[in-house]
Amino acid sequence: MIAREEGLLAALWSVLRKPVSPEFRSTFVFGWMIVILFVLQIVTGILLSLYYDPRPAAANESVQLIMRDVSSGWLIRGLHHWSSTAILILALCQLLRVFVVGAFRRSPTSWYLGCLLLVFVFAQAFTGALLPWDNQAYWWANRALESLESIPYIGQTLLSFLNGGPEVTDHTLSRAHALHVMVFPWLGLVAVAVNVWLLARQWTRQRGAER
Amino acid sequence: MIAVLPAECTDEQLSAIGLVLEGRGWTSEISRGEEQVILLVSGPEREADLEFALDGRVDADVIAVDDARHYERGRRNRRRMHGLVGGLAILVAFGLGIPVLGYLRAPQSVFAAYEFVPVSSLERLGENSALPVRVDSRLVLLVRQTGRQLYALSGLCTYMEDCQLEWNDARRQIVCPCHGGVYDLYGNVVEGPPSIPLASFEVDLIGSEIRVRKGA
Amino acid sequence: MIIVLARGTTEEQANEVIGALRGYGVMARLVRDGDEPLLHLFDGPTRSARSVLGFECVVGLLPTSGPRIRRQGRRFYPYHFINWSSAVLLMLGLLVVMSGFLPPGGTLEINEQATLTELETPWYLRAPTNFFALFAGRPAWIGWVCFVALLGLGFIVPLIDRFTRRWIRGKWPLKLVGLIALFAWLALSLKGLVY
Repeated sequence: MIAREEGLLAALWSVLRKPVSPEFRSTFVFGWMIVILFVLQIVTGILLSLYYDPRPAAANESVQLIMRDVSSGWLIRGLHHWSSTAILILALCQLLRVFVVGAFRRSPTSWYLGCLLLVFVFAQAFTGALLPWDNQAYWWANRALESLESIPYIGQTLLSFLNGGPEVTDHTLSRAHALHVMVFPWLGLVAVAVNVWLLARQWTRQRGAER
Repeated sequence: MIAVLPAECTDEQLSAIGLVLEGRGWTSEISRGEEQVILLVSGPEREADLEFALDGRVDADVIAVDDARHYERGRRNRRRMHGLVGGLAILVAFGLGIPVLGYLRAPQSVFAAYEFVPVSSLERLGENSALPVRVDSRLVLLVRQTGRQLYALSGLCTYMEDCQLEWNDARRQIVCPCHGGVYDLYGNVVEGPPSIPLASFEVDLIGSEIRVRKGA
Repeated sequence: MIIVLARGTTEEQANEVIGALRGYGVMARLVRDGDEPLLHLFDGPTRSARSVLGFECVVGLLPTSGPRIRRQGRRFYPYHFINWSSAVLLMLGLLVVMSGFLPPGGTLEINEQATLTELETPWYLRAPTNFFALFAGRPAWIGWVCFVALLGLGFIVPLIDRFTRRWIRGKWPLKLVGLIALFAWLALSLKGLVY
């Protein structure tokens, strides 16, 4: 059993042991799965970054090293790839569910955070797909950014922000790497943490206390 | 029989219930707990009648005492399920944790890329001279000073990477036939267009066998 | 929780059990249901009561958490936590299986000279891509404006809801809009693949 000392462990234990409102539904498990998948993404992402070489000349080769030579590299990369798919599907399902049952009325802040999270997840998927720096990713980025260019007034500026240049170059990979590894994980983590805290507070509040 | 009432029941509510039960010929004893209030009821009627009597007044569970074994079995099943999930979790933790530990070790191919490769023997290399050899299809110049002092220099000119250097025995210098660059035995530039000295490789001498390390 | 003691249990034996329980931090008192001796565990972590099942005079345990659960709900740990963890373990197993049988690609080197004639759109971008394709023939910025407007509308759903709720009662508008959104997403995603 967990030692019941005063301090952090005791606080954590008392949180875990809180009764959850009887209105709690089993479909709420989507949110929990998203949190776990998020943690899995971070862990596998860190592991992948041990071997990934972000230099344009070496990126593809490093990914192939992971798949081919590194022990269980296929498993780590596969988990990272498929959990990103799973997180996308679950996030979309979760947002749809929250919308359809009207749960956003109870906590609008949660809805805003959820929408932000969806944007972060999409951005992560997009920047992450670019990192192997293979033919598919390269030409896809080209096509996506071509359409950005056509926006009047702000198109070129947007392109310069996202691309680091007029077309897809080595700088694009640097930007994608920085966003994928250093920007969106933190933003996503904060959004997830705040969302979990808000919802935990909402569902463990006793009905007597609300009146 | 036992009636389990919510802990929030006040003493007034309990006395009111007590009066109702008395009216129907039941005797009751109260025991207050942190999370519930227990009402021990004995009387002529059955559980269903007690439930009916309490219905509408308070949210209570009525339990017959001889159901003890039934209840305990129910919880045992749930505990077994918890144990199963816990066991599965441990299995998954090991199943994923052990590959991760293996993953953290550098792959064999990386070690192989830095191995020592035998290239020549001491007898073939005179003192204060250099011998061109191939290490992994790359040109390397083996340089011997005196005795067993050996080192290896890159065999490509630093001025133009694809120009292969040659050992000029007469001048005792390394020369580049393309642009006239000249290096001494230490790899430093003596004359000509090159500005960067030659890179060196690790050499190992085992007996009279000379080995050079692959990779930079 | 209630511990049921065997008929004929003496007060001494009952006190022994009470003492053992106190060792686990559980407070108990002896009550009598007719001639059935019972122990009412009124404070402390009653899960530890399982430990006294070894006593000869102890017949069984009666959980008394019904009213509390109905009012306050089940505790997160162990109930919901265990249920959720099973779901997570299943999902992890599925991910591992997919990693093994369907490894991700990304191994073709970049060929800057040749464009790929048939670009494989990632599945999550099929819907947005086909949405933009709906505006083909018009300036591309119209597509972007509509796209951003849709996203913006989705973002401010709680605000829209607050102002329309008075004259649209009930949950059916939400279900309808949700169904339309789901259908539109699926249709745009499958366009080009299926039809």
